[in-house]
Amino acid sequence: MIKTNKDKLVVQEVLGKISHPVMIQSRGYVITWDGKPKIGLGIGGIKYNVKVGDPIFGWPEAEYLEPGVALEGIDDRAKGALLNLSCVGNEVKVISGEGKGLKGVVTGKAGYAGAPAHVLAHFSDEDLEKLAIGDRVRIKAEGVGLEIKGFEGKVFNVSPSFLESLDLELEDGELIVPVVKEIPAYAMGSGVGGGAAMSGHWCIQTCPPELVKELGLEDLRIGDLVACRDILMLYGKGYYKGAITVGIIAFGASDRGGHGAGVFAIAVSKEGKIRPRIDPEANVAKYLGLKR
Amino acid sequence: MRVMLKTNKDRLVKMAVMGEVVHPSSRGYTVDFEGKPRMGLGMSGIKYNVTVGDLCYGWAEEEHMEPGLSISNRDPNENAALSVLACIGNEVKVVTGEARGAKGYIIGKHGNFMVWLREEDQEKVNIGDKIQVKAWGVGLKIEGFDDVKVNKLSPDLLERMGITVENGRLVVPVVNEFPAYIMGSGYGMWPVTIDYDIQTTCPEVYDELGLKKLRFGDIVALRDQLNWWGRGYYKGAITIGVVIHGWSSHAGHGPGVTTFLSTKSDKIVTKTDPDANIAYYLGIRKKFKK
Repeated sequence: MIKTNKDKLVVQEVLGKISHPVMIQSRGYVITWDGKPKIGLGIGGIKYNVKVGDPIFGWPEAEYLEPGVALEGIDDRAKGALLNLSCVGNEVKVISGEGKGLKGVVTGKAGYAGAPAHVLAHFSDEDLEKLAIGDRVRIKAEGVGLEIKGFEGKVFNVSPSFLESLDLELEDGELIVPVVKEIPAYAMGSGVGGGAAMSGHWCIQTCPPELVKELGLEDLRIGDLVACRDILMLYGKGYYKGAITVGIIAFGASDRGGHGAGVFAIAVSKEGKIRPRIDPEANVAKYLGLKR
Repeated sequence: MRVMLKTNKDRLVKMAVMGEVVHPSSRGYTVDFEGKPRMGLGMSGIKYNVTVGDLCYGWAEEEHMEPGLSISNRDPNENAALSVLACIGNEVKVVTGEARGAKGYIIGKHGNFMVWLREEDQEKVNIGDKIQVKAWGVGLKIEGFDDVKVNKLSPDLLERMGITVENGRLVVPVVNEFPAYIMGSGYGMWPVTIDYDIQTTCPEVYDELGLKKLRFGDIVALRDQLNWWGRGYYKGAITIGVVIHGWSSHAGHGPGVTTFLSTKSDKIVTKTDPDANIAYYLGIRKKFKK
């Protein structure tokens, strides 16, 4: 068992609202890596039939397919707090509309320069029917500043309870983390050079198909934990030899050159003090015990 | 057998687009890859002592240093046209202010375009002066090389880059070559309007790859990188580009490359040449090493 400083963390309310779907290209098509037009649906809104745990591939015309309910800030000032402070495992409560009082949970975070920033939340099928675009929610934000005693790396974007559900172990200062797969640095694409670890994602490239095959990415699912080798998501996002970042896949695949399934960081060590333990079931849906 | 390049340059529209010299901006400290605050100067404005052919590395507090003059257009629609149409190596002319009539070249495309003028002409330029570009290069193709996409490159500069055809392949002189994993910010974006960075985040790796020796204007090769309708990894692909801005201490950033030629095929081979720099090709500087 790991020990944390969870008793010292501030727990505070941040507000969000259910976003409307947005198109990557407001007029016309996105162009895929091999020059084909594509509609590119998937960012924002409510997805009734796409949830954490579903495959990243296989959704027609989809790009960056976000599962469940995509939340955005209530205004320009508040959106930074929503994105930076919300953590996986935080409680989401609907505070307006027909679904007032319903509860969901944060499952992921997405967004970097040029794309809208969203916090992604899971609700049951039954509850989804009562939600509407524009409904307000409140998140009990808890997790920023979380530390694991004896681990010199950093932890981001997770609530204490979610972190504990991962069954982490610490051996000689090395954190052992379950992941479905390891990803080499050359597969990491758009999002490199992006901001700090608590805001925004970095894509695992999901094109061309030869790369997907070479790395065996076909079975990846939204919510999977992955270990990115030589990747440092800390005060920014870049290549650093020997570093390791464990992250969670926030959303689905892309056919645009250099783009793919977005990963946000949960544990980072510049010195490589993280040991990935392969577990094909290492997915947010399992750790949160989500039901459809 | 060596053959000169043939292109469709006679069919390319040559048209005027306009920008103006933009003022630098600053919002205080930014945080580098290991959490240290940095001033980060270098983008926009006029650099009197930094120009194409100079070393990228080592300017105090530098962050994405843009050599020479930086121009853009304040109108978003007009700026979109400037961004797409102007190419590296295009001729420019100052059309307002004390330096009116002075001529130079486009030497890079970041967010801004970077412009070279003679030192005596640059002394006369003020921020806000308008600079007109003879945009020429969109649609450029090399005959017999349909699978090599050409981007952001004036036909004149293409002809001066020392590229030869040998055994049905383009032989391109380059200063250095870089592996896919080191490519950073700008990844996934559209090669026509923005560069992407060779990361100068990890000291061990930037020493190993010789990044401190890079100069503004150097021609470089990027391995396993495809810059066609987007930019990303493609095993065996190669992209040729030019170094257009300086170092960065931000994670995932570094000297920027505007990409010129890109192919999935084996139609491009490289040869090392320390003088493969656009300052030399445009007649701005003499050879570096003799």
